[in-house]
Amino acid sequence: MTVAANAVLRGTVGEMKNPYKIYLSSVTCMNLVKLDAALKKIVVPEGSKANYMLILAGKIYDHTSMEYMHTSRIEPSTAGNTCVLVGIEHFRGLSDHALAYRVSQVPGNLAAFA
Amino acid sequence: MVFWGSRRNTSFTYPANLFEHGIVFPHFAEAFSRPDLYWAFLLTIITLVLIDGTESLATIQAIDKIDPFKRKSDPNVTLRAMGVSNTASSLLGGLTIIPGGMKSTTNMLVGGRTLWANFYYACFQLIFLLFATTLINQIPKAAWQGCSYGSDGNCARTKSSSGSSRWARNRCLSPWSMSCDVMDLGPVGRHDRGHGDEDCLAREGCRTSVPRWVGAALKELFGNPVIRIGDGRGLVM
Repeated sequence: MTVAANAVLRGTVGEMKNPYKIYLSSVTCMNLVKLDAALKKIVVPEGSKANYMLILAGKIYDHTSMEYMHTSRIEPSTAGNTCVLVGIEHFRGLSDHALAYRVSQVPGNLAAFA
Repeated sequence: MVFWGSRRNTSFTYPANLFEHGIVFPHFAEAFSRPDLYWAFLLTIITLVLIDGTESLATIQAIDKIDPFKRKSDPNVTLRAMGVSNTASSLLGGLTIIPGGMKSTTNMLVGGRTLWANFYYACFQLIFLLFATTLINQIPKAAWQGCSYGSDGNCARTKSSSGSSRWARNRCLSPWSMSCDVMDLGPVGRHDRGHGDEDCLAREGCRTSVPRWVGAALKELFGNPVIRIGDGRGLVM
């Protein structure tokens, strides 16, 4: 599946009001289920829109997790929610694919700013 | 069946050196020199093609129904891939290759969502075949059968949409089909004897030799990735 890069980054941080700030360490296919379970605990009142801010503070995000973040239930297609990925510029994709495996380029632990 | 299997070998025996004893090329010259076997060959080939094709299509139909992203497999691509893979495998003396319901179900249960799961599966399978045949030889056939039966039952439950009777029928037929074409049963636990001390020593060796950062990396890879929700002033996880 080919996805444009701007399809992953929806909206901008500046236009969000009271977002759910979700700080993430490394996400791979091996702990994606736990992320999904944690996100399902967020209860958004019916009829209201939610803003999600996924802050990437880990070292790696594999293709599976990138695709999950792209097509997960917090996508704005369902209830007009908005979602942005913060910190993705610190990661280097291992291919030209928009949802490719990404490795942190920043030495040390990005969780420091989380 | 378990008692019947208890008198037989209870686990598969993979050769220690895969490249020395594990690869056996087919004897095409001998096969073509026996015209009396041509008809049997043809019947066998047609039977395997029909079985593999039917099972492949049934598998992708079942897997499509449990796909979290609701993607649809292309039957033409599946059959083409099956044909190419089986031809290549047969020329090298291998077995038939078809889409696996057990592998796909397991991948989905543990979080696999994309084609990378296939790649990881192939890599791990190769690693185990090359470096961990001792571990494979310790797995009883009953355990293999149990895994196959469980996943096949899940597929059967997914395939059935018209009530419990159809599910029960599929559930009853699945071990029969699996035992016919995959393996026979054996008791669990025979190979557990005598390996306890070695296992303890191996675990202790791993515990002392593995650097601490490996443990931290594994914890990060397998642990809950959510550091917290909120900026520290509201909800904290």
